[in-house]
Amino acid sequence: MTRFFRLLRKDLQASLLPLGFLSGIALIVMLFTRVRISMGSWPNEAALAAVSLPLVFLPLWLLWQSFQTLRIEWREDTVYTLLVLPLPGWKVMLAKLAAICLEYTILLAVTAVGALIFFAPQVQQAMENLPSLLWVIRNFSLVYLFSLGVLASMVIFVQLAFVVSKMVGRVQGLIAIWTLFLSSWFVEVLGALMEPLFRWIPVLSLDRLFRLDELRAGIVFELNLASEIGSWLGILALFVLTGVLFEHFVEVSG
Amino acid sequence: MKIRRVTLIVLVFLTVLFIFDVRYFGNRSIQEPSIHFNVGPGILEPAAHKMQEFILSQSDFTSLALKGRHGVVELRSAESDVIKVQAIIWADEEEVLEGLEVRESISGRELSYELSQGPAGQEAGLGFIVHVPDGMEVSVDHQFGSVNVDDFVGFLNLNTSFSNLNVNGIEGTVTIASNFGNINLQRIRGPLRLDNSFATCRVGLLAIDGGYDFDVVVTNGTLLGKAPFQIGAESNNKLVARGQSGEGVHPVIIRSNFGTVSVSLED
Repeated sequence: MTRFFRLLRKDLQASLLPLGFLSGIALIVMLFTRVRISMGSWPNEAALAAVSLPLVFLPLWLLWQSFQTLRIEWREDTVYTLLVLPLPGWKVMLAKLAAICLEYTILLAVTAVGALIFFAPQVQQAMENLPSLLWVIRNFSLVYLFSLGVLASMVIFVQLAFVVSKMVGRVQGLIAIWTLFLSSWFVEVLGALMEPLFRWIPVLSLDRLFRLDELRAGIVFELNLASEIGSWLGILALFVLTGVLFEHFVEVSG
Repeated sequence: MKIRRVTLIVLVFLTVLFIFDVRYFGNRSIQEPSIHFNVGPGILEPAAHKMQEFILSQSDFTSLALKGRHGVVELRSAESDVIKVQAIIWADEEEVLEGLEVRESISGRELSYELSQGPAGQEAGLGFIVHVPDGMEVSVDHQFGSVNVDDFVGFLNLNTSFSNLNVNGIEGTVTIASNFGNINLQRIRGPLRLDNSFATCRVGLLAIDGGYDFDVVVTNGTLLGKAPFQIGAESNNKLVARGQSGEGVHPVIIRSNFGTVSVSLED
């Protein structure tokens, strides 16, 4: 377990500079927007754009980062060290996945704190239209967990694509893109094929989970878990496969 | 070298499967999407309200008609011979409320309730909490609100617009006409006729002796289903589903325009 955390710390340390840079950019954009709003040059709605901008950019950057952390291991020849570590391949991949999830959490927290500091009046105004502070915290936490799940799935696809690309001699970039595409198609098909097996699972009422009735009556928001569980199992299988391929079959000199 | 070959073979194999899937199973759009989101009409909160209660013996009546708006209708049936109707009247002001009452009328063997004429230009609403004996015919005409039916045995006719409709447990014949709203029908056991426009409908049928005969037509909308019917596309954006379970004794007729319909049959 200690080795796993060391690996995680190593990945986090490697991301420290870009993490600080991105956090700084997000805060500067928010500060700049705050000043422009105070001067009356920009409308209040600009605050929403300033907060949304990092949130839109964040997942794209993290997906690139998940590719980059593996690429660096090859570029700097540290992949040899990874392969001789007494750690199974899946733990290596898990450490990188956990590092990306932590980076996401940190950047999200920086954006949230920045919004609270720079746009306090706008946040307070928005809060007046929402049921309660507890409701907001609860729903933000749930949205965070859902988005973390989606991000983790995407990172798993990227990891598999990268590792498979390192198993062929040429056109590794094209193979990576094609593997990314095929893997997402594969889990979708798996979800559809396994759906009849899980029909007994009731539909998850997200409107109750998010307590949307407190916001407005008549909102129906449901998630059919039956068609999702097969896909989730498929993603888990791809994660294990990536670990096995990385541990046993990957070409180091690629 | 061997692993390179194996990797390429697996990728080529998956690519062939992918092409085959797109070529022969490309129309996944008719499968049910895993996320379902709809915003139905909201319910206004009454500023002032009062209640009237009516309790009658069923002996003289075979049917009950309710006409409401802007409120919630709660309906259920039980093994008894008493009809119990609680009418909730609401208005924006107390003065308006004082001039309003629920009118009870009897026509042959039908008992009906509706709101008396209030002052012109004043908005008023009427909702009901109703308990009826099993086997009765109940007709509900409702606008701008919500209709909830639980564990009902008998004949049910619903005519709603801009209302959310939730039915959980019916044994009998159901006829529904609804526009603009969410319709959620669960644990339905019996013949069903559903006409709707601009509505999202979820229909959950329970297996019944004699089985069902499905006749579903959705125009300019989406049809999803886990029921024994075949979905086919016709011209003019029309989706048609026909099929039977068992002997196909009980008709399930659904006509939908500009809406989403999901039909499932549980064993």
